[in-house]
Amino acid sequence: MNKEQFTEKVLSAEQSLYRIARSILQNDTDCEDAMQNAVLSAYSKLDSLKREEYFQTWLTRILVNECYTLLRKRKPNVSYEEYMGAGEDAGSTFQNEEARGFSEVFEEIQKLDETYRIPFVLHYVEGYSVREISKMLNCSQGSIKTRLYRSRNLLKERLKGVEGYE
Amino acid sequence: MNKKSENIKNGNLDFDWKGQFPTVPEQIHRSLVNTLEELPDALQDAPISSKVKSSTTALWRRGALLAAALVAVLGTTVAASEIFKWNERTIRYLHNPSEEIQNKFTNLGLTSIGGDSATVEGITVAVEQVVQDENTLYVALKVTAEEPIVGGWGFLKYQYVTDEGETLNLIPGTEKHSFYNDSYSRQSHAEEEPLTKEGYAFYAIHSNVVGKLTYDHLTLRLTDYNYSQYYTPVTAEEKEMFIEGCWELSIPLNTDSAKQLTKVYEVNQEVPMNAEPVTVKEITLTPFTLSIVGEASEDKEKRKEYSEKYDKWYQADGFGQKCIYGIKYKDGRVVDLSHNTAGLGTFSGVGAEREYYGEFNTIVDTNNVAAILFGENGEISIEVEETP
Repeated sequence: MNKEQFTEKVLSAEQSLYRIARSILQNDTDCEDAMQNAVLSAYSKLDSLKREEYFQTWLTRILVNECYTLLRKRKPNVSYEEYMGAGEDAGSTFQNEEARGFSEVFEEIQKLDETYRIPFVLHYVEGYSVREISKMLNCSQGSIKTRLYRSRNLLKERLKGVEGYE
Repeated sequence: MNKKSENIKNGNLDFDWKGQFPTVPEQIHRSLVNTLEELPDALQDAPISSKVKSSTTALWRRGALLAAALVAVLGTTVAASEIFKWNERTIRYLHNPSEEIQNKFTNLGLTSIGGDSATVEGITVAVEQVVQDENTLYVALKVTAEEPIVGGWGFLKYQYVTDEGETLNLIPGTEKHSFYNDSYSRQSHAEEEPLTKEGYAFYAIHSNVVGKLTYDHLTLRLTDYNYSQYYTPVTAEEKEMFIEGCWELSIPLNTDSAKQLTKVYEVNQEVPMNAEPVTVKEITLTPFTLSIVGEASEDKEKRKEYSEKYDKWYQADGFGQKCIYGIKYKDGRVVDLSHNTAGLGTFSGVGAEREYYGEFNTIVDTNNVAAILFGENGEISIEVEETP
């Protein structure tokens, strides 16, 4: 795969990568860092990709690792509120969350604890299998299934009355 | 990528989930495009990963050829491996250490097969194998349930209690590289059937969190099986998943023997570390870890030069991951630091002081190391000789 092909594949996966980064990191400043790091890391390890049809899964796994690396860097030093607001400081080029008018469903997904939110997004939003998610998150398939089951129930309860969901 | 499972009964899977998420903000898109445009073409000719991968693979492939020499050095016999076989999962988790390395650890008392077990409410947790050096303790566990378990495998709390009564909380994913839970379950029925009777887990405890492993033993305490601090079970089926209890396992340690494999090198050489010019003062090598103490240069011109020359690459693999590349054996073989979550090079320090710490994902024969490697592809090296 040459640089052009790599670029094309990354851009075609861009929306998915952003949704996944956003579900883990929850602020745009960190999403930007994680996506950049993941792309650079992937390009430097390109020959470890055995089959091109798995490019997006492979890149997603790298992105998930980058997001967790970032998360570990952030968590010991800042409060949750500070972390959530990291992309909304004065001078930030990102709009704050309310101003962007996110949907109710998205906000409920984001309110799920990360234990449930990340498998939920990977499976129900992005369509990855339990097996793929277990490899990405370094968790047993049983744990992933349990988390999906609980996340589904939690969301079902919280999204009662939301048009199109029921 | 597979299709969504058709068997999920709760929730509306036809719902437009993707449509609920915000689209990529313009700034993120622009910065991604800029990053892609700036990728060097030449990189494809010499990707980092090919060298990392081949060097690691080659190490263990060639291991057998070194058997005789290593046996002589280590003072072990091949017969020992026949009597004292390592657990197959431990071997796999530690990326297939050679039989010679296994024998070395066996003979020095740095590994034990089997061990303590505890049973609560029909759930038995048993130690399959323990492997340690001075900085790291690996524990392979087997969890067996009398009845098939619905749901996943895991405990609410993971703690270590030292001889002095100090309790250390180890929670997967929240301590910095302190806890690597590479657990998996073996299905007793079809793959998608969530009923299991056996599970396995492999845990690592690192000294950068718990301090040096200077105790005769540690107690591993696992609490509340399948519990979650985030979720209260409501239905009968959910309640069945959770079992309250405390499983305590005594883990033997052998600190004195572990020290025999730790090498300390005093050096005075400047290398790029995290895109900084750092004079390395002391290197400590154990079979599982590499620690470096140094001093960053305050020369502004030099700092600028290093920042421009190395910054891109140090960012490329994430935070601090490229601080240290790995080690080179006397025969030229190279072992890189693990690039998994458990093996990132980390750094800290106040003012000009710098401390770096990295982990290998396999076992290094510390008696035969000739150099510590730095740089993008390990092209910068510090030759080492143990300080008497």
